[in-house]
Amino acid sequence: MTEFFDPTGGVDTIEELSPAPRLVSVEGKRVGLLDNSKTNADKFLTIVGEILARDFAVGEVTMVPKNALSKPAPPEVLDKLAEVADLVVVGIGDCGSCSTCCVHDGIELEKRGIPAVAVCTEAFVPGLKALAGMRNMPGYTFAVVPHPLGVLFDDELRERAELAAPQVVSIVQAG
Amino acid sequence: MGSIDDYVALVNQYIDKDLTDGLPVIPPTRESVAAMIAASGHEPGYVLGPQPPFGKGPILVKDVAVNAVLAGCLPEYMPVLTTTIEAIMTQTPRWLATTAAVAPLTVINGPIRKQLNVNAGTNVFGSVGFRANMTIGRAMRLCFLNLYGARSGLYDRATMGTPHKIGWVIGEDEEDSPWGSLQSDRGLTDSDNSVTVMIAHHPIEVNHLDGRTPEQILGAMADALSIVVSFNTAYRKGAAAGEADVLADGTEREKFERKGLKAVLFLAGDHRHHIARAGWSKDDIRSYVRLHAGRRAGDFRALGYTGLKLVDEQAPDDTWVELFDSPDAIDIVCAGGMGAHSAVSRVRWSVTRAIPDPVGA
Repeated sequence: MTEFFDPTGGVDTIEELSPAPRLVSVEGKRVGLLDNSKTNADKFLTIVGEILARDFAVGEVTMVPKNALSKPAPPEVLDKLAEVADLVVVGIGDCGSCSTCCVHDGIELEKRGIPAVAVCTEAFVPGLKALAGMRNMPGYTFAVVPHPLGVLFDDELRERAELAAPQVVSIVQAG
Repeated sequence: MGSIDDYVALVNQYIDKDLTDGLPVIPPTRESVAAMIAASGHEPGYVLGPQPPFGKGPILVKDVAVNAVLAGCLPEYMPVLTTTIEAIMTQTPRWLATTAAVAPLTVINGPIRKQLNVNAGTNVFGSVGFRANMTIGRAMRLCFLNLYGARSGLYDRATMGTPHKIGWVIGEDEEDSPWGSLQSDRGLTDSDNSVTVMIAHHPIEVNHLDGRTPEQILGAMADALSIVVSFNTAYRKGAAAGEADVLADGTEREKFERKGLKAVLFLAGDHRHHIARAGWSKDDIRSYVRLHAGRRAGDFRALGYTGLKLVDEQAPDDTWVELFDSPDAIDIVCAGGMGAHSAVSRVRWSVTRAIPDPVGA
């Protein structure tokens, strides 16, 4: 039988990584918001931060802009978040490249020991789950809201934020 | 080797395992892969690009070689293929995942066109029957699929996509250019070989049978580029946090930068000769198109392109908004056959790379 060649390259992968340890509770914990500067990302994340404070009594909330649209977050940005946050909300993933980068950035933060929840729309879920596997962290979980997101007006944006914030909490908390 | 049925069964294995573009492939063998690697002039482990998000590892020549065999390439195509893969994978792989309808266009310059029989003339965008154009483009796409993970719905999230994803490789008709080649615009000489890789939108045909003057022909090209949706792609992005413009009334507005849309003008046979006869240079062409490519703000605002901040919100509807930052954003390629059917494409990114001579070739 003729030899079969694998055109997908690479070496067989290594060990599976676990996400960062979960928090016992988000109460009093500092929240970082990683803004990828998509339209209304800052607005959406701000509302999520407000809901986390209002309903879940988190501590200080800090917005950190990524300044690298559709690219992975630079190390300085991840360092900054590690300084100011105990948990991070990464947003927004409402397009192909930005949702991929949100999950990528979330996983990079988890590797640094910080629970980081990417907020992406349902349109991109299958690919994002596969990405987590390719990044050796198949256990990585992100928040999912209906599509679209950034183009919405304020009231619908707020509705999406109300859906996202409880997901963030249940993902980062243990038990 | 067994029968045709055995061969077809093997081909179907590759297709069924989702390792192809859906079309039949040439199953690799150790010898055919080795021949590809040898023709590339690189070591098998030479790195053409870093590990992509959906890739298993860095992009290696030996893996590109496997995909080149699958695509039906001849070994002599490898230097072109590895140069284009390196250009894309080191600089802008994110364009392979976009929701936009773009695809890499590869323009080949230099004597290598004749050596490989790369089509640069009639039916250049649909170079059916030219093995070099068809299989180099196909091999690029197989590399994107297999090594980058740009599978439909997985990492390739293009909403509509474009047929050019199957392959889009052309030569420039340098011999018929009144002004010299695209690569000469980049400072290379006629004896160099190079590829210019552009992430480009589908070409818009500019058929102008009555056009005789540069102004008529290039005016039509500028008009074709200035469709309302082009103003979506030229949006401004935020600058570093904290920077602001101070307006005349003292209020601050978040600072924006122009994203930098580009274009390529494909000048067909008849048109390039009309323009050259009038004594126009490439610089004249670029300047004219840049001056005339634009639109009234009201045209795109009326259709809801208001959030992209190309023009100040208070500016009146008849404010002229130019599409390109400078004439340098516009490239010229002399390709296609005779006839008065030129074309234009909006371009999001572009790079030119010399094709190195394979060691020992």
